[in-house]
Amino acid sequence: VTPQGWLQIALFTALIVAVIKPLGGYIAGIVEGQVRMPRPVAAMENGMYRLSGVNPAQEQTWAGYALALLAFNFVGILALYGLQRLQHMLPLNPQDFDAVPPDLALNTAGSFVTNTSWQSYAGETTLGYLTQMAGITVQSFLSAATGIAVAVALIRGFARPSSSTIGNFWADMTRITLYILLPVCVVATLLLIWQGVPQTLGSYVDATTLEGAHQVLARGPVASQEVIKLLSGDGGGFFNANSAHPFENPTALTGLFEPLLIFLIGAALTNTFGRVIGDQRQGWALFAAMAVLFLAGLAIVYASETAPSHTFSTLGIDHLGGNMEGKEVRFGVAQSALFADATTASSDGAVNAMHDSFMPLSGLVLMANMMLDEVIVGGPGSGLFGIVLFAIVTVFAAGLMIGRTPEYVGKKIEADEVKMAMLALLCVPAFILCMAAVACVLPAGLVGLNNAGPHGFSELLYAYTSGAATNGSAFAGLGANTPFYNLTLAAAMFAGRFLVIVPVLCIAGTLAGKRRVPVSAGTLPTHGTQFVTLLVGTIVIVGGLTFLPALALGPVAEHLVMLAGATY
Amino acid sequence: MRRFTIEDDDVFDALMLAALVASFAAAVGYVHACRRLVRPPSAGNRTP
Repeated sequence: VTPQGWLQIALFTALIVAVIKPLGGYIAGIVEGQVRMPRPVAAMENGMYRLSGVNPAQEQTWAGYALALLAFNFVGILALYGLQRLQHMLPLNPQDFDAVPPDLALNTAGSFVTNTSWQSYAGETTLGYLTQMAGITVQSFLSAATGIAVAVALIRGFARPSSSTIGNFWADMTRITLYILLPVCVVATLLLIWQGVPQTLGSYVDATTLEGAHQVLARGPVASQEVIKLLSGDGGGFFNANSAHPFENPTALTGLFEPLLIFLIGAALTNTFGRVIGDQRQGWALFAAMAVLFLAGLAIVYASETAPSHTFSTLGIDHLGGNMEGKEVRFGVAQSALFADATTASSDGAVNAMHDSFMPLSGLVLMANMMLDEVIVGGPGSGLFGIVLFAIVTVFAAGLMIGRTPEYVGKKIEADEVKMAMLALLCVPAFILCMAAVACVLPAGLVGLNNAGPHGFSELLYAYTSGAATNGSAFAGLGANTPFYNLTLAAAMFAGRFLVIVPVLCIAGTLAGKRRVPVSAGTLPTHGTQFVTLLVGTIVIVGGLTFLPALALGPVAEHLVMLAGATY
Repeated sequence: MRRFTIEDDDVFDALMLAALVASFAAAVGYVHACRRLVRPPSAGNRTP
């Protein structure tokens, strides 16, 4: 642990805190229709409505909103599947890549539409430019907009008194994409191009190295995909090495900028929440809970990677610079730890180091970040609605203790909301644990493992955790491009995304139908330290109780065995 | 760009698309199941 390392972390945290209020206010203005756009931009929005026959003023019930969302995402999966299967017949494929196999195409389509970005393929050797741009990049935009739309619908559920509707899905998607995602992407893409990230439709370059060897340098429309990859919480890189690749993350400035993009919208939405419900302190309380969990995890990962076990000495490895296996030397330990904690705390899944090579305790934190339903900032929208689900459970538990109907930000929390919150919070762990257990006993699952013992189990557990939590990062040791993993991980991604979103929209609908209740002497304050502590406790206990046995079999066992001198 | 030919993968394509359609149908069923799980506004589940 070095002062420079802590300085990087402090700078990152300060920049995120600084951007929350202005961006959160801007998003609130957009989703509430209070920001007036320049006439040409507004004309484009209206033109899209006319073209698609959408009346943005016609609001939907929660079920209508959910069905529109499902239909839209279903069409997105079909489109991305088709692009991959037909790419050998389509233009903008200068490397003449063949069609993507059906199981891999299904996995990839599901992965990007669900905002997961699990990649069982290497981008630069599998996908043509058209598939990357019109498929992967477009779905990164749309999946992020979908998550934000769900969060916005939930916020409206809290903010509206006695309403039967929660907004118009099509209008929300249009406004979020046009006014939030696209402007940030245009500016940030130009910044990345300035820093040296390629943006070209030219074919790969044949180069001769200084040693005289022949090398093919892959390139393409990287910068435009890179920004939305980070901003959207999708995380799927143009290159297999993701943000460890110098063409995706070339300089120290991009090294700081990229994790900022990962957290940008997820953090700002806490402020949007507070603004729309009329009490910004509520948003800051949610952000404080996120920050506590994020910084606690980061401290463990950074300390663990900086001071690896004495086992390293016995293996003859110089460990004075920390555990550098699987890390880019340009980034070092601090920036790798920061990126790894940020990418698993959010639902992004981009990586600048190989998580498989992290110390066991670091691996535990990275998995736990995802297992906690990605409420630590999380993906755009999914982080906010995830932590609000936990907030509902928290006020319910507190209500039980004091014998009073719980309330949260002006709405009574009753049986319907608690049922739906528990459904949303339990389906993800159920999928992770059941599918990891199945993969442990089937030969088709075991054949993908590159490591034995607890580390091999961690690879399995990490894969299904990453899939069901819609993260997409990987313990790189698992060979996942097999029909078994492609199909089971696709099922985990669908479940982790839509089995959560539907109950969240249902909660939005039931809350919208209720009157707002005024604060009284019996109201549990949900904007102070006491509530933040309760909320963090609930998140840790629910996550810990659910996953502790599985974590004990994986990273905990590996850590203990490593202390005894054995490695995997 | 190559010419399109019928290959064995077409069978798998059909299976994958069938799986997607089944997943979509299941998701729509899930929406209706959730709607039945919560009480309608007329049932009195509203703050007095």
